[in-house]
Amino acid sequence: MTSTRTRLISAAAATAVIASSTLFAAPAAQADGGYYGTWTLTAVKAGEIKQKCDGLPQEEDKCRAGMTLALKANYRYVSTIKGLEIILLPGKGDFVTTTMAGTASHVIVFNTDDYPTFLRVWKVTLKGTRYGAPSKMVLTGSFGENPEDPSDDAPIKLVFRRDAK
Amino acid sequence: MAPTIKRIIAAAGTTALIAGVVMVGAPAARADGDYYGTWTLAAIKADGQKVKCEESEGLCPGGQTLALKTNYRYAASAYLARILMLTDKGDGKGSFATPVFPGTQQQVLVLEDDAGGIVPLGSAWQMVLKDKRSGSPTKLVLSLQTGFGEYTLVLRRDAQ
Repeated sequence: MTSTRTRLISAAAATAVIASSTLFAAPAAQADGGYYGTWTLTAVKAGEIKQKCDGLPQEEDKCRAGMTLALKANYRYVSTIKGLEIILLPGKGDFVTTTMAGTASHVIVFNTDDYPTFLRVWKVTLKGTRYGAPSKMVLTGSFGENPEDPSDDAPIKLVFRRDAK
Repeated sequence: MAPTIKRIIAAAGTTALIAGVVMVGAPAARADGDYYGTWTLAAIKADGQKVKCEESEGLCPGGQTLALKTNYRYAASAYLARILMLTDKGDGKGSFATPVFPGTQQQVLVLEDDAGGIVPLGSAWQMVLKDKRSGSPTKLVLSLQTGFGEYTLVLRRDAQ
């Protein structure tokens, strides 16, 4: 496993291996604005490993409860998510969304205020739109293939709920 | 971390994390289309050290190209594709987009590889077009802070 993945997974304390992770449907392009609001991180998945974010503040080896990502209408974000620094730096910054012309993948790009080229991009899927604004957001990415272990091709998912407590 | 980047980092002799990053000015937004064409990797900069890409092989071989097509498809040479995506996975082909941050006007090159998809750590690079004195820009500069150092790829249009 690559060092990046090792640190991410260990940082998220993903010790629980699930035999059958829930599959998410392919994302559809979302109308601009459905992602605005404050989102609470509820789970981190890396391949078959899932870590619920229900840890106590003092439990540094777990994904802590109550970590949020706020996406504002002025294209500014505020993240309190810790433990995933290499792929989503906590703090404030700018974001932009776009749809890939070829695949219709909807993506969101973050850029922290602290380092102007610390760009991170995720495929974004919004769900639960039957009664208005989406209530669930999933950010999806891949680490690519680990050349030392081709079977280790872990996708990573960050699962959010709007204003979840 | 992909072996390619490992070798670049090792060659640059850097172990520092993101504490002392050189600040890069936000680029002005460019008119859509200036980036179309075939670009050749001319140099890689890592933490202040520059490696020219002019050898037949080695740390940065010459002749590595990135083609940005008008149908929003890209094609990258194998070595350059691995650097861009920071992974060994992918076939160097995929879709691209060039969104601009509304607040800073910073333009981004987003790459979605046909095989590897979106890689959070490597699929988005700051994009600056330069040397536009005589029409189309002749220089494309891509920058990314990986967390293990900042990397800048200097590409020239149709450079040989």
